[in-house]
Parts: sequence; C-alpha cells; structure tokens
Amino acid sequence: MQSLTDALLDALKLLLTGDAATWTIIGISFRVSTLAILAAVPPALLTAFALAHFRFPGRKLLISIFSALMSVPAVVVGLTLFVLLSRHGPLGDWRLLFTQSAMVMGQFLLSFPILVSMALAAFQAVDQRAWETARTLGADPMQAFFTLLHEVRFGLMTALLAGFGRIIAEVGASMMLGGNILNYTRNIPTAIALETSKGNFAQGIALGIVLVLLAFLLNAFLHALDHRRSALEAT
Amino acid sequence: MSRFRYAFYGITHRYRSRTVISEARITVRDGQFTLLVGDNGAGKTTLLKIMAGLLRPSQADLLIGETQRPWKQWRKRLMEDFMYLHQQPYLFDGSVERNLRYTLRVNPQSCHSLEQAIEWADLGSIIDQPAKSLSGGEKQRVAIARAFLRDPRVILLDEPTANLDQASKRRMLELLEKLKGGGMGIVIASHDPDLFLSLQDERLQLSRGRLTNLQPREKIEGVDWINHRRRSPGA
Repeated sequence: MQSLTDALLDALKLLLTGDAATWTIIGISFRVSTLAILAAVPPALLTAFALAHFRFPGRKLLISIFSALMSVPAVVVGLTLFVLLSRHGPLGDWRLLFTQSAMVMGQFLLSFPILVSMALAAFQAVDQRAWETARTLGADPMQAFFTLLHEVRFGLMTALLAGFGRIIAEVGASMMLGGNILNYTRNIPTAIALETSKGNFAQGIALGIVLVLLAFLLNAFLHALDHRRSALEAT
Repeated sequence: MSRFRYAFYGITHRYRSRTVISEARITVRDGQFTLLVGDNGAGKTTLLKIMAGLLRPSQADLLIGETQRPWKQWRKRLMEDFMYLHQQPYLFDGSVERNLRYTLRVNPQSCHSLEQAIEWADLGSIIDQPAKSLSGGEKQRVAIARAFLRDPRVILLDEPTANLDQASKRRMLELLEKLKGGGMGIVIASHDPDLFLSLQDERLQLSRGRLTNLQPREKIEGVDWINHRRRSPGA
C-alpha cells in the first residue's frame, strides 16, 4: 500500500501532467452535472416564482415537500429512478439505464428541490413592489419576470452554486444509474469510490483534490456574491 | 370641463372576512387632479392598486368611454392607461439612467426621450448614481420621471410627499403641475391635503371603506348612474 505522501505526490502528478484517464473522469463529471443543472434551472425558477407569487390550495404543502426533498439521500433518488428505468420498469423502453442521460436525470431530481427552495427564498425576499413597479411601468408579465430575475440574481446564483455543489459530489445516484462505466459514466465520486476500494489511492486523491478545490472555489464565489450584495444594499 | 374618461363603480374589496372597500365610485378624467384623503388603513392604497389593475377587487365595474364592463375585462386596458407610484418608490438595481432606460425599453412607443426626461425632472446631477442610494425626494423625482417617459393617461400616487422635506415637496408639486398641464389625470392619496390645494379639482374621502364627497353624479357627462346596471355592455 502506498504511503500517504507517495499517494499525494502521485495524485498531483496525475493532475499536473494531464493524465488522460483522470481528466476524462473530471470531464464526464462536469458535463453530466452541468447538463443536469442547466435542465433544472428553468423549471425550478418558474416553480419558485409561482410558489412565491401565487396563492393556491396546497401551496404550503408543496413548499414543505420541496424543502424536505432537499435532504433526500442521493441513493434513494438513484434507487427510485433505477426501478423506473430498469428493463421491466415503466420507463424501461427508453433504455436509459447505465447512460449519462440517466445520470443527468438523477442529478436533475437531486438539484431541483434545492433550486426551487433557494430560489423561492430569493423571490420572497425581494420586495413585492419590484413586480408591481415593473408591471405598472408597462412591462408584460414575461418582461416583469425577467426584471425580477435580475433583482434577485445574487440569491439565484447562490441557489445555482449550491445545487451544482450538491450534484457534482453525489455518488449514490450516479453509481446506480450510470453503472460506473469507464470513459462513459465514471465520474469523480464513483471513480473515487472504485479506486479507493482497489487500493489505488493516487487517482482517488487526485479526483478528491478536484472536488475540494471546486468546493473552495464555489464558497469563495458565494462569499464574493454575498459581499457584493451587502455592498449594494448598503448604498 | 375636461372630458370624462374612466368611471369605476361598485368597487368592493374584501380581505379575508373584512370589507376593505365597499361600493366605491370614482371617476378620472384627462387633466383632472383628484385628491384622496383618509386615515391610515382606510383602504386608499387598495383602491389605487385596484384602479391601476394591480389588485383584483372582489367586485368592480368600469365604464371607459361608452363601454361598460366588469373590472376583470378591463384589466389589460387599466394596466396600459394607468400607472401606480408606491409611497416609497421602488427603483431597480443600477443607476438612475438604467431605471429610465428600462422604462423606455418596456415602452418603445414613448414619445419622450431619455434626455428630455433628465431635463424635465432635473436629474442631470444624479443620473449616474446608484438608484438605491438616493434620498427619498430624489427617488420620487426618478419615479415621476419614469411616469413622464411612460406617459400614462392617469397616474396614481400613494402618499408621494410622505417623509419629504419642504424643498422636495415643492419640487414634487412642480412636477405634478407639469404632468397635469400635459393633460395627465392624477389621483393622489395623501395625508397632506393642504399641499395640493392649488392643484386639486376634486377631493374624495375614504372612510371605513366608503368613498364620500363625490361630486354630483349629474356632472359626469355620458354616465347614466341611476340606471348604469341596466345598460347593456357596449351601449
């Protein structure tokens, strides 16, 4: 077994020399998670806006459900989709199991409640006058909606980063739905799990470093956003 | 006497079990200045928002020109013809110029230019400032400048001089006088009625949800108030 120092040095070598296998895994991770978050953002924003703006029966229940779904284990989402997409499942004909599309679906479901709940908080925080002002100035509902998005952009960016941070690091759904197939569905978390179980710590650590760096970057960006928002509010 | 344009009648609004406004009638004409007085919580803001199309009343009818319809069927027209200004105007993130440009963007048919609005409301010295950093009086001037650009038939102002110093109140009066001179109908809810004595054509009192001191109905040309409920739509 490698010593920790050797493993760390090997990991840095893998990253810095552009090791094809490692960077393919990183590329798959970012591709799948970016597609999932991009697919989730539009319906999540509309859902959050509807929950913030309209009063209808069951609204509070829906808000509670989305809030609860934020902390649902990824493996449960994976299991649910696995059952639906498996050959004998209701969506078996789609033949999506063990594909990147299935991973995107899983990560979509994981990020959606986070995006809805956090975007809802952002919409609720903005003054009702913002919507009324846009409308009374002559904006049609769609223009007013985009005006509102601009007014709450910091909160929405926070939601987006939190959602992305959640799905890029999840292992349960990706493992079950993607099958951890080399050069196709093997992403950072599933590769870490596999390489560690094989005793190949170098690649696991290299990929772990990427995730940790990403976490730092996301946090730094969120901090900068918060700082900018505070500065704007102080003016 | 200026020409009749809009006659609201039967405005009733209930919030939960409370009747906020009951069977209110109000007319607005081109170039007419109407002062709306009443205690806090009397329903002035609610009435103005209903007139602006921003708040759906429990019941209301509206006569525009010779056509009588329920409020709901006139809502789009109200949003086009009326503009509502909050007691504390909401200015969007960004500079004063961005706020004015936004108004032009959603009103591409505006007959006024950005430069005209800046000169009209004397905004030259603050045009590049962040809108949210302005004083109350400056915000009101920007809000009125947006109304100038939007050029609605009727402007509805909710306590526009609240918390303003004397100089700001005078500037506000000057701007309102110019709007009235340009033929815009103006309805103002205010706790400061004496301020508008020189401008007002009509004063209405809203108390316990009831609007009183309406001018005699027979003065309103073209409206058969006695039998208005029996008139057929479009008659």
